[in-house]
Amino acid sequence: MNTEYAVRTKNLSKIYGAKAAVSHLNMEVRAGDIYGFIGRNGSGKSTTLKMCCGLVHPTEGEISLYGLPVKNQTARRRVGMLIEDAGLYPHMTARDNMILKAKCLGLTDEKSVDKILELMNLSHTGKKKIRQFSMGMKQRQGIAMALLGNPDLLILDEPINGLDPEGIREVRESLIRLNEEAGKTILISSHILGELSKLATCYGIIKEGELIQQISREKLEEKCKDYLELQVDNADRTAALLSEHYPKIHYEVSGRNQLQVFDFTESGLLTAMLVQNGILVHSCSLHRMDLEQYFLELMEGGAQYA
Amino acid sequence: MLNLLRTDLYRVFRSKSFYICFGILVFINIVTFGILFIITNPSTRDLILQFGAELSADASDIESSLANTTILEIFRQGTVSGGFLSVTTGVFGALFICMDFESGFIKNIMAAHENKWDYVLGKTGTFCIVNFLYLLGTFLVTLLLNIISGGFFAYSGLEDILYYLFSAWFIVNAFSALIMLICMITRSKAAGVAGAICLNSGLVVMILSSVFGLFGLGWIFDYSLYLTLASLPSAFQGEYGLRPFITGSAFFVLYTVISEIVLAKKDI
Repeated sequence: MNTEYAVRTKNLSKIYGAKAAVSHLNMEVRAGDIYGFIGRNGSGKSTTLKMCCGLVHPTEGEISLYGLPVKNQTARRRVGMLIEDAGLYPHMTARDNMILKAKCLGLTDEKSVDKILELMNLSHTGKKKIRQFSMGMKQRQGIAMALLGNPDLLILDEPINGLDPEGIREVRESLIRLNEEAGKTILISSHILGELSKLATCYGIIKEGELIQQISREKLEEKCKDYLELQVDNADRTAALLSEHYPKIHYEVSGRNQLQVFDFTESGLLTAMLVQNGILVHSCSLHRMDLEQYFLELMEGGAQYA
Repeated sequence: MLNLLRTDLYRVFRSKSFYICFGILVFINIVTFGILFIITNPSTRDLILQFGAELSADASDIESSLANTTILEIFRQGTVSGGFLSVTTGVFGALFICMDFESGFIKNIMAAHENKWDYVLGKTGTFCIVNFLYLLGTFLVTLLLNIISGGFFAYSGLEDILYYLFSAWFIVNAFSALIMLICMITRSKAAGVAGAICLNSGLVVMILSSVFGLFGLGWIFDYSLYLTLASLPSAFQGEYGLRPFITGSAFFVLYTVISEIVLAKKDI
């Protein structure tokens, strides 16, 4: 059994009518990772995650969970999921819903139900019915249900939707704890990219059903690091001056008149030095990019990031 | 499969619809028993005639026709033959299955159970148990009413009671499988409930039977679930007595197998 990858898809496609919701997707989620799955609405995230849970039949391609096909019952038991909404019976209590899921999984120990409710801060809900729950409480209940059966892999689709900032923080800390302390692999999609960037150790970016990039957090940070962008009259001479005055500086020349200077944010010093040496500086701006900007630029087709 | 059966049974006994449906059956039973008691009993019959009630038959006709009425016949008239039992269990089944899809809990089930038979057999098992409880419960109510009324109607033999209840149970289980199939195809509560009312009450069968009767093919519907249920013998009568079991089992298996195929083909 391959335990290096929790999820691996090969040429995974799902076609509805004439439209491919997911097209030849090759995704690799390493065991132990928190994999952030990013994409616009309708890009195929939920369909992909549903296929990984065995809820949707792929039109083409393969999915393996810990080296076993997704249809394998043993592999399936290693997965806990929260896809779209939590899937709860509205006329029942939080505990009743948990017991139903536990019975469905064949679990007999109801102590684990209470333990997980406590973990997700839902143990106080008592006889309150699910239909009386807030959106945030329902999401927390959904995550609690996903944790039943102690799965190795959690597949969470928009789990922080509808949560207040405190709720988001609680869920984030719970997920990090589950990953670091219990070693759970987490495949998570979210539109709140700022939050995702605090969690994920690896990212997959999907656009119109195609996985356009998989990137580790380290590589993303490398790509997103701060830099000064210089517009000058002569980029080659500017580069020579930079090497002469700041030998340790790292820069990239992109075109005749443009340079990016990394790990150096003293724009005043730099501009003064260049002007003193006869360089005409048209502009000098500090460029900062977070996950959101990176994602947006990638969506708009920024080939330089691909 | 057993895990899902346990899950469903846990939900059945915590759902209001289970008790409401049973309450409706008991109510209908009490009303039927009450009406038959009133018109058969000379003192209560005279009382309602004084209050302006009109009876189309005279007293001697009523007494002669109801003289040998047993509690099994009362139960048949009040609960089974008119289709109340099959409609009520059908409505319960439609609400029960469609709630899985409506709430989204089906995702939790299917993510854990790749084998769709687990789900289908879990549901049919649950319905068989619920139908058995409904049949037994409503019959016990009839029995209790007869005891309270001082044994007004004759008691049936235990063998006849067991035969009738089990043969009705087989047919009602097949009706539940039919509603399950409708719910698997449509995943709609409205369609399930409409199917329970139109199909389980015999409405569709009666219409089709009349139409086919014009071409001399009305006999086909003698093998339908509804007409088999409506004409259940009150006692085992040789080979004919096996017909309800055979018809019920055949339709039960057919609808269950198609349900599994439909569920396996569709995405969740």
